[in-house]
Amino acid sequence: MYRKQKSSNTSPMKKIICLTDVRKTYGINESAYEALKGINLRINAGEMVAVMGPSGSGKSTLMNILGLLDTPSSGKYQIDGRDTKSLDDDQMSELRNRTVGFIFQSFNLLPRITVLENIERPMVYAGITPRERHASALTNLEKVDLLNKASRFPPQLSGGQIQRVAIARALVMNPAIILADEPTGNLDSVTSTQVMELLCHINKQGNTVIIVTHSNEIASYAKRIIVIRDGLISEDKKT
Amino acid sequence: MNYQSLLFEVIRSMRANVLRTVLTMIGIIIGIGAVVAIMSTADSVTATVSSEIEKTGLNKISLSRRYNGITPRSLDDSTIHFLESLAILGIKNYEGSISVNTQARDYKTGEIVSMYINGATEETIGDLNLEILAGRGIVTKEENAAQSRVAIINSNLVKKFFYGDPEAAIGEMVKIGGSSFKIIGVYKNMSPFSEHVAAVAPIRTLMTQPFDENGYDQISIVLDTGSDANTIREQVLAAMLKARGYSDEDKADFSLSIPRQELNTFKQFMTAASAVIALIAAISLIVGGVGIMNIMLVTVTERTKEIGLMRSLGAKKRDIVKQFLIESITLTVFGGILGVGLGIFVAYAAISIINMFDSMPHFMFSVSFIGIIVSLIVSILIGLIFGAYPATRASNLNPVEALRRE
Repeated sequence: MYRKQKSSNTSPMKKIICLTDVRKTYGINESAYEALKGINLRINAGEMVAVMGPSGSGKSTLMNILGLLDTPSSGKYQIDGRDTKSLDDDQMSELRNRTVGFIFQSFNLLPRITVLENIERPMVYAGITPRERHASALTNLEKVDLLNKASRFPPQLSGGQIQRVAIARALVMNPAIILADEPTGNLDSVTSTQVMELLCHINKQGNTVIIVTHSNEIASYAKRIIVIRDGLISEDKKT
Repeated sequence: MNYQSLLFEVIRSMRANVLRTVLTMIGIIIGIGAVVAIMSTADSVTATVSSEIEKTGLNKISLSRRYNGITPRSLDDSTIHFLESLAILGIKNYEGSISVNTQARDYKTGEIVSMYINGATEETIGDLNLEILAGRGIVTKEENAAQSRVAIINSNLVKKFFYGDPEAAIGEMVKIGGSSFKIIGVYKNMSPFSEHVAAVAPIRTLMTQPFDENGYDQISIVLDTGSDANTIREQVLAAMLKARGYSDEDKADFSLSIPRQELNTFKQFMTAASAVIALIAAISLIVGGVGIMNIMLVTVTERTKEIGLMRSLGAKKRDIVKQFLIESITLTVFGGILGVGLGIFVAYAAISIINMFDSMPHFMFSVSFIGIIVSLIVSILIGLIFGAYPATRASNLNPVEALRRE
């Protein structure tokens, strides 16, 4: 059932994400709106990338497609060597579960269950046994230094702590890709720094990290910055 | 997907909002409650009637007088002698019985109460299962032969005439049907609530003044174990019809019934009747189910963002369906369990109230286990059926749009 995925993030030059002429259109006919107008993008395993761009530029659409929450209208998206076009809903769910770890601006922890149960949730969907889940959740909680909050409920924690729990949850399936959508958008500068340092640390462990942000300061943590404008990549620079 | 953790989560959210949970379940609670109450009450009635019939023995055929436009001829010792002379195989013996509706009068105060006096022999008195409080619970062969005016009275008569003291009543005289009877024993009334007054006297005594019973009300043809009641009934019927000059059983002035068959017919009737009424009550379960569906749709809307999150964490559509189905089934099963409790309580209250009135026999309370099992299965089905649409709707939400919802 549960296999530790090592292969994907060990060889640094492997292409983990590969988009070829990806377009996304919403609506039909006259009211149709093209959010992505042909994106070509390669991201190697182990990279730390920031995606920037003004509101309405299409970067959220791009993130949703990268995270397998949405599908391109046309073009080709390969993730970890698999073409997403051939996947059905269940396979997409499985890939999200095993290959992608999400971190959201609004944290998105379930308030009614404990911190530990929140971290266990992706493993629940993977069908991992309760004992393994428990052990693995504790290990990842330790990574974000919140072991003492395991049995607390999310509303009892501070914003920074909640986001660290969310990071532990994103890591728990050991995904090849971490997708962080404005991860510091709701945090003050001190906790923002903590969260970004944590993400850098995770990146050094071999996970590919993709961060969507408005902030140049946050983007400066990344080694590569991609700027989206009007549904196209306008800049792609290494720092 | 792990059911146990899901179940805990559901119970936790139910506890977090007790009022809403109870209001959601109320339709199911009342529906299941009604079904269980009806079926348990019917079961209680059936059990009571069955035990009454069984008490008088099932392995027999009852020969009774039938008022068929004319006064029926009596059933007396000559009838018994005639039947005995036929020497029908499989018959153990014949027992005549008499029950007279009459009055008792207190010698001291002149107070009069209505009562039943039942005839018994030294053999048949054991069948009455009297619980003796004072004196003796038997009539002797000699008392029957001498047609002695002795009576074993029940505790209700003692309460009325002897201040409820059974010992004080022994040896005293009481006027029954205008004749003096010596009290030789007191037995306990079957129901603590019933005011029914009754006494037992030697059966021969009831054939003399003042009752002048011309023979028996009924003759029980007691069968040997293993005898076929139907075959013997046919033989007795043929002989009786011939002796009394009838060609057709329907025109005869007597009737022959088999208590076991009557009991079965009665049980079948009660089962069918309670099933029909319970089915009508079950219509309210549909209303309850719609209530569940309504609240589940609200829940899906409330948790749209959560559903999006779960999808992003790798939940498949069927994981979402499962989660919401478990939630709706948990609601209906909890409602069902509460409903079963309510139904048992209502049935118990109903039986208790019936027993408070002057009624015979005393009703026993019995819980319908079939009713409970059917109710719980129905609860699960309601959760499944009415939870299916909200759950499917939740699973079909677009993850991107769901996540964007606040």
